[in-house]
Formats: sequence, C-alpha cells, structure tokens
Amino acid sequence: MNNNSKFKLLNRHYKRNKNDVVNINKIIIHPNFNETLKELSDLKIKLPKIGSHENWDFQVMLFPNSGNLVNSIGDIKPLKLNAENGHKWIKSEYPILAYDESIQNFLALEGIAYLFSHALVLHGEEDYIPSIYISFYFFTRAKSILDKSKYILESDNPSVDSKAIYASERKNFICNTVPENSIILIDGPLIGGQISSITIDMNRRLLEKNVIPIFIVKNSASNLVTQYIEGLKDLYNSDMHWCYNVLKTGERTSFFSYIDKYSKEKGKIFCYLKSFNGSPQRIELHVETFNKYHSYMNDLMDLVYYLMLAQGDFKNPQVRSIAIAEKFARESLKLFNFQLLMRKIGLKPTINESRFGG
Amino acid sequence: MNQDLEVNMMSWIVLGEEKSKVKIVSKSVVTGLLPKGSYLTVEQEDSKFILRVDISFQSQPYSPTPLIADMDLTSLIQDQKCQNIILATRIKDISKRTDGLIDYLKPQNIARRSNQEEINLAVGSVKDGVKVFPATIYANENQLLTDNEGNYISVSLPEDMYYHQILICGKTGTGKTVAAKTLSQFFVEKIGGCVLAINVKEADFLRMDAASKTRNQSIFKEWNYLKEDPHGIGSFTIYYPASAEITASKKVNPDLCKKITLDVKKIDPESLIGLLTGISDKASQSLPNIFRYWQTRKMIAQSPRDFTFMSFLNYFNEEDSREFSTMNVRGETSTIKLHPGTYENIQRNLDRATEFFDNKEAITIDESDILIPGKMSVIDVANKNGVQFGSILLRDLLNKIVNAKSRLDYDVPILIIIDEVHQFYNNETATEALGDLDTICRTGRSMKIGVIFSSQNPNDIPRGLSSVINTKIFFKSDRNEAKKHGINITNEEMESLKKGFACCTIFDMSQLKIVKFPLSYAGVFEGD
Repeated sequence: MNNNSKFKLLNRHYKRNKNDVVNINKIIIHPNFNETLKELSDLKIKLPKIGSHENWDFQVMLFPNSGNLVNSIGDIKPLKLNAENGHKWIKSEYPILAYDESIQNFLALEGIAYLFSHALVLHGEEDYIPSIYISFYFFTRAKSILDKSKYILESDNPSVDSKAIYASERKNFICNTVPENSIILIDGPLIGGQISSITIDMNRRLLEKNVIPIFIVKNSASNLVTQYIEGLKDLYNSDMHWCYNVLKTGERTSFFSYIDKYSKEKGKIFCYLKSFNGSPQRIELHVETFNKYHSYMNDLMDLVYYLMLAQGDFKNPQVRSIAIAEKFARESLKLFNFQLLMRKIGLKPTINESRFGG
Repeated sequence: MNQDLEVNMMSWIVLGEEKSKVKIVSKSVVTGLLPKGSYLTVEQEDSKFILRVDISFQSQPYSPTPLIADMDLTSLIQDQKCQNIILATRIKDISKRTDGLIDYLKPQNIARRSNQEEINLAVGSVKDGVKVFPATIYANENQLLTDNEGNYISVSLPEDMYYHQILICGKTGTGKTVAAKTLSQFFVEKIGGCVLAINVKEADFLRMDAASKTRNQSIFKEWNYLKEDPHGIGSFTIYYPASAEITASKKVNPDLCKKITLDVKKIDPESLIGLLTGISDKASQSLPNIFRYWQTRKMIAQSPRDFTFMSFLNYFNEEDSREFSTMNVRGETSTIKLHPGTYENIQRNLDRATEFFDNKEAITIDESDILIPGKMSVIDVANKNGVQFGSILLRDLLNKIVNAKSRLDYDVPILIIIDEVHQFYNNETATEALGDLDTICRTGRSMKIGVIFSSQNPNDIPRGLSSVINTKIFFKSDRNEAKKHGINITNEEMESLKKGFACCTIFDMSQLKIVKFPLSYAGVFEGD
C-alpha cells in the first residue's frame, strides 16, 4: 500500500466516525463539562483564576513488587539502530499516532477541580493532525455539597480518584479515536502504579483493532535488569545507569521480558534505547503486543529512534510526535478559555486569592 | 485537492493588533506566502475591513531541529509545515457606526483576499480611468495581485492625475516610454483629449498608428483581462523639421509625416530665445524685442516677398553699429546697442537657424493643428539640430496653446509628453523651452493641460517643477532619488523591479504602491 492509499483509508475511517463522539482534528468536550461548571456556580464554589499545572509522573512509577522474572530475549548485547529504516515506517501503510496529556488543577476550599486535556496526534499527509479531548471534574468530601449536586464527585482521595478517571478517559479516547492497523506511541509506562490494569485493558482493546501500542518511558529509576540479570547485580545504581555505560549513541539493548508473579496480564517486554549521549529511554510493549508483532520489533525500535532524532532534544530526549501531542495538549488548554467559560456560567473567581491554595 | 478549490478556500486568521499593524496568520489550507502589497478583506458582523499587506513572512510552527537534515536523514514532512504571518494596515473601514468610534477588528476573524470591487473602494479606483495592475515584489519576483478566484486585480487611475502632472523615471528599457504610450493612448481614445509628444530618440513615439506586437502570452492575458486588443491610434500625425528626413529604418508610415517649418510671420518673438546658446539670460532678452520691432514693421509694410527669416538675418547683419530699434510686448519702441560679443553670438545662432524657417515644401503648424479631440501629434526632433528646432517650436506652440485655451477657444484637454527629458535638457535652448512648462504645470489644471515628464534621472526635471508634479512613477532606477520623491521602497525591491513594473505615488490614490502598466496597445513592437 502506498502513502496515498494510507491517507485515503484514514479519511474513510474518520468519515465513518463522523457522527461518533470521537473525531479527528477536533477539540471534543466532555458531555458533563458545562454541567459540572454550572453546579459549581450554583453552589457558589469559587475557583482560583489560574490553575496549577499537574505533573503526574507516571514515568518514574516503579514496577509492582510482585515481579520476579526478568529474562533477556536473546543475547544481552548492544544492537545498532537504523534511523533511515525508521523513517520508512512513517511512510508505511501504518498510520503513526502519538498521545500525551496536560492536566491542571484548581484548588478551592470546597474541594479540588481537575481540567484534563488528552491529545492524540496523527502523522497526517502534510501536517500533524490533532484530536483533543477535554474534561473537567470537581472532587469533594463535603456531603452537604454532594447532596445538592449531580456532577460533582465524592472523593476522600482526589489525587488517586482523579488518576483513575484520567486513565479511564485516556483509554476510551485512544481506543475510540485510533484507526485500525496503526501504530500508537504513548508517553508513560505500560505498567506502573494504580492505573496499570486500565492501561493493560486499553492495550488489549487496541490489539483487537490491530493497533500496535508502544509505551515510551524516560527518567525511570527502575533496576529490573540490574537486579535480576546475573552478572549485572550490584554493579549499577539503576538500569539507566547500566545502559548509559554499555550503549553507544544510536544503539539499543536486546529485549527483556518481565512477568508478574501473580498476574500473567501484567507482563511486558522492554528494551533501552540511547538516541543521544545522555539518559536512555525505556521502550515497553505488552507481551501480547510483542508476540503478535514480533517480526516488526526491530523496525519499530528504528522508528522510535528516528522520531527521537527528529525531536533532536539532547537534554530531554523525546519522541517527536509525543512532543507535538504534548504541545497540542498544553496549547488546547490555553485556547480553551476556561476563565471565560466560568464567567459565562456565572462563576466569578474571587478577588481574594489568598483563600485558595492554587 | 482541486487547485481551484484550494484557491477558493484560502483564508487567514486575524490574531490581533501589534504596533498599529494587524497581525494575521494563514490557515492550514494556505500553501504559500501572500505577497506584500496584497489586499485582504475581513467581514465582521455589519462591518467590513480592507487591509493592505505590508509585511509577509513565513514561520515554522513546529520548529524542527536541523539534526535530521544534518544526519542526511529524510525529514518528516509534517515538520516542514509553514505558516504565513502577515502584518497589515487597515486602509478602509466600511462601518455603519454613527457614534464616532472606530470598530475593533476582533481576533479570530477570518480574512480573505479582497475582490476587485473591494480594492476599488479601498484605493479609490475610479470607474473609467486608465487601468494598471497592482503588483507585488517578493524574493526578487514581481507578480500581479489576484483575487481569491485567481483573477487579476486592476485599478483605474483618476483622470485628474493627468492635470496634476506626471513624472516617469527609469533606466533605459525599464518601461517608462511604454507607460507614457499607455497613458497617451488612453488620453486620446477614452478621455477624448489630444496629445502632443516630443520624440527625441529613435522611433519611440513615431509608430503609434500601428498596433503593438508581442509574443508574450502574459501580455495577451493582461489585454484579455482588460478586454482590449492591440490597435493603433486613429488620428496620428508626425511633424518633423523640413531640414531633416525621417529615415526608412524607423519603419514610420510616410503618409502620416508632415514636414514643418517655422514661419517668421507668425512666430512668437519670445520663442527665438530658444535659438541662442552660449549667451547670458540678460543678453538673450534683446533678440525678441529686436525681432518684434522688425516683424511688426514688416507686417505694417505688407511686403511678403522680403518677409522672411533670411531678410531678418540680413537686417541684423547690416547694422554695423550694432544699434537696433526694439519693441517690447506692450508695443513700446526703443533702441539698444548690443555688446560686440552678444551681437556676434546672435549672428552665429541666427545664421544656423535659417534652415528652420520659410521652407516652401513645408507647412507651419499652430494650436489648431494640435488641439483636435482624439489626435496624437508627435514632433520628431531625433535628428540633426532637431532639439534646437524642437525647442523653438515647442515654446511657440505652448504659448499659442495656453493663449488659445485661456481665451476658451478650445476646451479639448491636452497632454504634453516630454520623453527622455535628459536628452532634451542637454541643450540650453531646450532648457528655456522647458522653463515655460513650469507656468503650464502650475496653471494648467484649470485648463486641462497635463504634462508627462519622462527621464532616466528625476534631477533632469527643471527645478521647481518637482513640487508641482503630483504623480511620480519610478521604474527600475536609483532608489535614493525615488526616496527623495516620496517613494518608500527598499533597495532590494527597487533592484528587483522587472520591465513594466514600477513603484509610485499616484495623485489622489495614496494606497497604491507598486503597479504594472499594461503594454500599450499601440506603438510597441517587442522583438522587432
């Protein structure tokens, strides 16, 4: 299939979904968005004017302690990456997409509000084509508020509950938007923290659509390889420390498999990739993904390498398309005039900002 | 996507205002830069804004790293996406406001390329004026402006422009004579005026009776847009001194050529100053009064046989005492004794000028030959002593034309074209003749007398005239000189001007900056 055919098929895909909630090149607002804001207004709950950017660093979330089996797939040796081969995949029949998010919180006396922006970017024919999903939630412990509301959520631990909602939204948004037979690059780990099961479910649904999900992790402090592989134990502080020393620029490690002691679902295949003379990145795939697309793995790692080079950030190596998705996610929150919306529905942020922690 | 469809969908987004300029960015369907000088229209509720693009540049929204290219890897096509950022000036607001305030031009409004009607409104284009094409320069490329459908845009210059005098400057071959031809053809054919042109070089103005010829398809496209076909001027006459010949190599139609001579009986004595070279202004003032006395005496005597220039020369030569009777313009008589040097100088010049007068094979012309609606008259002085002849004749004719129009004998508008002023100006006698134009330029408006000065260098224009010339058209020429005349253009833009393209300030049309003159329908023979 040539490149033109790919985009014709993509056009068909998105035309077919024209009446669905999910669409490409659009900003989609959660159906309860305005209602939630309206309730806050009715209840005279005042939010600070400017939200705080929330960094949920899934990147550094450690693997569960239940893992005990890490094996190398093949010999442990550096493997050369081929960026030009990676670029061929951009032009292949597989559409390439990338996902990232941006989150803001607004802390009020009555609770905490979260504004999520999920951004999915498709490598279009000539441009990056974004699809944005924006949602808004307010969490409180106050029964008095909850009794009068339909959309405000009860939570004793908004930090945890918001992550669960976020992960669930991310799953639905990605699964509904991504076209079949495509490749999606996702910022963050496959397995990590309380959202692992949702992410694994997302992975399963994507595989059903013949989508290849690839998870990119940077800044990880995990030591799976250096802890479990004989000969590496006690020599390195972390896997990244090991990789930095054994990999040259433009190389990756062989794949390693991780299998959870208690849950077969929580298995993954990963490798480390060093695109620049700096901290390497971990590339993760679910075991089922790896098994299904085993023959493509070298090419896909070349693709990731190429996209790292395309971003060209020596200090903070990142997949180009994920970086673009991140920009869209952040910019959409700016474009999306939250303050104006609040005013429209009668929510007037107070002048006395000192009341609020935001 | 169909290219026509793409053109139709082209639009830009208003971002806001910065330093008195409206900042605009292209939508993603726009695949190129909108050139400087283009016009954009923004419709906002009941109001409409027309903007002129002053600065246009590209930006790269994704700011890709050069690393990929540096490693000789294929770039991501998505990273190569460019946007067009525009800074524009509001030149026309069409608003129904009555409260004395000016509408905001709100961000996120959509701008599109202005259509012909909107541009007419914005620049003050009149319905029936001579048409030129607004143009633009970018990256050394000259191009005509088009609307969203890809059609040319044209602007009609006001008729009043002619009577507020025009200066056309440019190096040889840049298009200034062609522009003068376009303007003169319009003047005779559409305004119904008459044209008097002085041809000082080759056959520049001598073939205006013939349709222009070209193989340039873009010229045909322009003519087609203007709904005009090449054609010669119907009423066209060339006048040339009887002492000269119009050579066959000029490919001039001999049937349209008329030999002319100066008639000593009719010539205005003041015109004889045009004969004198190498003499002070004060000394030269003696000759007209000496001649007037002689001319008047001959008229009274009614002796046509010896009423010739030769007899005046003999009269002048016979006065060994160098003492002459004089008559001023009021008819008062007196005597004057000439300085020997002045006397000899006048003698030499009179002797040299005998060939211009009283030639039996030639006719004499006056204002009645020129002031004919729809007629173009060319005086060919591109021959030996032609400039000297032309300067006497021009001065004589100009006086007669101004007097006739002052008396309201004629109401036909007249356009006088002094082409290649620098060639005319080299001669002291011609400078005198041009000096008279100063008065015409200042007073000609009420009488519908227009003058076009065409020259390589604006400094060739007689001093003081510059301030009364309201339309200045600069083809490729010295940018500093253009700047002195109020033309705001960069060095690069001036150097990039192609043939036919000019920067300008047009009378009563301040928004028009760069134009292309359509090729004249008459008298231009490309590749001839």
